[in-house]
Amino acid sequence: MSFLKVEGLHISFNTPHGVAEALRGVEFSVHEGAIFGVVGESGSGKSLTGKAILDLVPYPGRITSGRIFFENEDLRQKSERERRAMRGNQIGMIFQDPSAALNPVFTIEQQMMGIMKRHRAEAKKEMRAKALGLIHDVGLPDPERVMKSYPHELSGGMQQRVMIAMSLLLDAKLLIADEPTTALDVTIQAQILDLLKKLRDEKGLTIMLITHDMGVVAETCDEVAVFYAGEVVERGNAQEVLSNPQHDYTRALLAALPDGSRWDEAGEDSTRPLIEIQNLTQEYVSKSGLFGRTQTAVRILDQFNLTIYEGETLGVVGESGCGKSTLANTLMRLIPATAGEIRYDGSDILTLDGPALRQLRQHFQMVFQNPFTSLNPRMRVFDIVAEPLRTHRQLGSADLKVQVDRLIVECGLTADYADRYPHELSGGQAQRVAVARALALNPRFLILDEPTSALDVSVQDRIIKLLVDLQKKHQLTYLFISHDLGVVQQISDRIAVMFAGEIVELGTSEAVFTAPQHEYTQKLLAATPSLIRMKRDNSL
Amino acid sequence: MSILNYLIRRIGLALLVILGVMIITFFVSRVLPADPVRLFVGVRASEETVEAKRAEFGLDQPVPVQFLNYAGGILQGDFGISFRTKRPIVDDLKIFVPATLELVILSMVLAIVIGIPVGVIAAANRGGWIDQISRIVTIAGVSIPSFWLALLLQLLFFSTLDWLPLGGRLSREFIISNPIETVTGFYVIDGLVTGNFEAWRNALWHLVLPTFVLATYPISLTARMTRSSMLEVMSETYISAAQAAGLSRREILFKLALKNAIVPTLTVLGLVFAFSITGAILVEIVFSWPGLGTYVTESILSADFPVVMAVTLIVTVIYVAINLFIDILQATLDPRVRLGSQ
Repeated sequence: MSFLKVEGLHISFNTPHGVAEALRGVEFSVHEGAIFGVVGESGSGKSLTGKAILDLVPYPGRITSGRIFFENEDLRQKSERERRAMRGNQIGMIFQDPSAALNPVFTIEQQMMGIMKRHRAEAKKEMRAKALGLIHDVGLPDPERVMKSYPHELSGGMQQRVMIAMSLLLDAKLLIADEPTTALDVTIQAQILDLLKKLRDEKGLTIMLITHDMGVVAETCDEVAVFYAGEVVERGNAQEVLSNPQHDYTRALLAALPDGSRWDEAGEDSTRPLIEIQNLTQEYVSKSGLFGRTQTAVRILDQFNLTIYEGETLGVVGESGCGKSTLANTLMRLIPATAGEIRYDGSDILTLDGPALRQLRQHFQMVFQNPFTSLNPRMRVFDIVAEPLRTHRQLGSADLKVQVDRLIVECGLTADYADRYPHELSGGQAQRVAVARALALNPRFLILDEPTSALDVSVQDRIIKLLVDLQKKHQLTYLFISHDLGVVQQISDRIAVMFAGEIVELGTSEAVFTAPQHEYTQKLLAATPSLIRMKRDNSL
Repeated sequence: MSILNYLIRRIGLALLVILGVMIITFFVSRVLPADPVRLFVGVRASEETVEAKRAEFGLDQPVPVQFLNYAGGILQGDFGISFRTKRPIVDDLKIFVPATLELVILSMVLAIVIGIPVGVIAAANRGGWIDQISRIVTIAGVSIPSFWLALLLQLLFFSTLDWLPLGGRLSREFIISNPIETVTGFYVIDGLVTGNFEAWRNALWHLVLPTFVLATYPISLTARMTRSSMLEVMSETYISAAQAAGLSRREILFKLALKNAIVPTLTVLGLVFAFSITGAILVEIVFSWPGLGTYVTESILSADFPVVMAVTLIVTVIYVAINLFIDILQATLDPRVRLGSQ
């Protein structure tokens, strides 16, 4: 007898192009008190399954067949009223991005009380006491202050803890956690996973943990179901599946995980500095008071020094808010620096303007995290890649086409992609277009700002490989920014660890990983999901 | 920034805007080729009379002095004398401004009371028949010219059915035998305050058609804005989270989602309110409504500059005040809107 059982679940979406089947006969069962991992890439139907259990399939999707048993009752036979009473009461849910899952215009207290008032007839005082107790249980200090806060006044980790507390307000027995740590920094991720384990142990909560991250599964789950294209392709004990995967797709997923090995053998150490950053300071001034006279300066970068050598890949790791994107934007001259110097080939670029700056822009290019927001949705691939060439080079239309086709092919697509719009591309293909655009002007220096974070793990792998190949071919210098240690290690010659606007550790990739000196680097390494560590240590 | 600091700064800026409008209207009126004094005294008056009047109005003085006189008068509530009606403009405004505001405010109330629920319900039943019908009706509502709609409704409700009056604020018998005493200038309020219920009911009767015609555009726009921002909000994760917590559909729609969705709608309402004050002109003319529109139209046609300047100023003040009010309202609804953040 199982706690939660899904049988032959089919969900389809009616689209203008016909009916699309998103789930095709999904089957699995979850034991009480287990942490059940649901793993797969975007579009595999894992989130949809979670929503289907709560009967929240988004418009225009609908369940076409299948049965969902919760404590041996068929949920689909229940009335809308019964199902609603069950949501929150029996089954709670938390979401990927806690800042989006909390209503921004209500305080935490208003949101929590709203949920309880709906389901419980207790006195207000008792309900409030319970809410405070739960906020305390999920490890938040000063519950009274948290209750009175609006969501934007809390950090990401705090917001996710609040979400978990909210989902437990009504003593839910099953918690569906949809990518609960994906939007969080790696040290926070470890804390939230620990919290989930603690809640399972102490409150006997059953957790369905939806994730794309095999590392999280290895760290947390007892059982696992691997989703691929709307089907469960493999399920069973988590350790067994990870150590002895049966299905090709599971094997591919595991193989794609960064394992601490380098893609390219380390080249000869270059000693020629390409970019020297000296005493770079970056401040934001926020004005307040009657005429904006009260000024508070927030220092993002403080007397920052860094040398980037020609032909190397310098990895920059750090958590959100540590200043790594500010560094990238300052280097690109997208935002003005408060003080300091950035020397490129010996001359300061912060003072350039007009034609000299335009000249520099050809040498410095950038690839952004999310290709779907960095590519103009109204432009075809051809025009996206051709745009920098049209701006900086006078080419005839025949030459332009030759150039663009060459770039597209070089980045691993075929020339016929030129006619497509970004929304007709997959995430990986779109990021390839973004790389092609960055390469159009033969730059020397490329800033890669989390170029693989928005992509699935198997796609990440291929983009990294592309970047490594291109670097060899064109003698490029990379500044590779990421919050993901595994990916950084794969590609970097040297790694700079940033914390609160400063570099706390800088060294060769091996040195940083095998013998981290700074406390923060050690913490960061310890928080990385164990699968990567296990894989690196060849214990898997 | 505290709300008080913010208010002081915004009011300071508003005063600058008003001063700017005063200066511009004043100088524009001085460079126009028409001679207002000649208009005032008539074509047959002698040159001496014209010059005497010119001196009386202070129009023979240097332009900067004239402006100071004008600005000083306004500070004391004196907008000057209308060339056309020969009455103090303030006295005219006391009648015409409330008449127009009565129409505009009631049509805004309709926009809120009808437009917002229609938008919410349409969004909730996206693609359903309610949604389809409301989309067709609201697209018609924003595109039908108001004067044409007014004529059609007059044909139907006055000529054919004889249910509602053709125009004016009050029937002739009330104006002559039982007029509403002026307290605020708003008949809806004055009728009640003075206990003149017969006339009050008659005034309401006269309000129905012009209010509805003037409200057609705001109602439709509000409904469309509310629908689209509701749809956007309904796709947010926090709405899924509320559903997952078992909240009822009504709570989610009208309490949780609407508070988020109403913020952009308010911006539009603020702009439409100000627009309606001048937009009321056509409606007022069709319904012979003795309001600002009718007043200012006749003044423009007879080059009655003091009136045009006064009305421009009044509309500016209302516009600035409404937008300030909306900004503050939005900040109280959405804690992320920081007052005066730069």
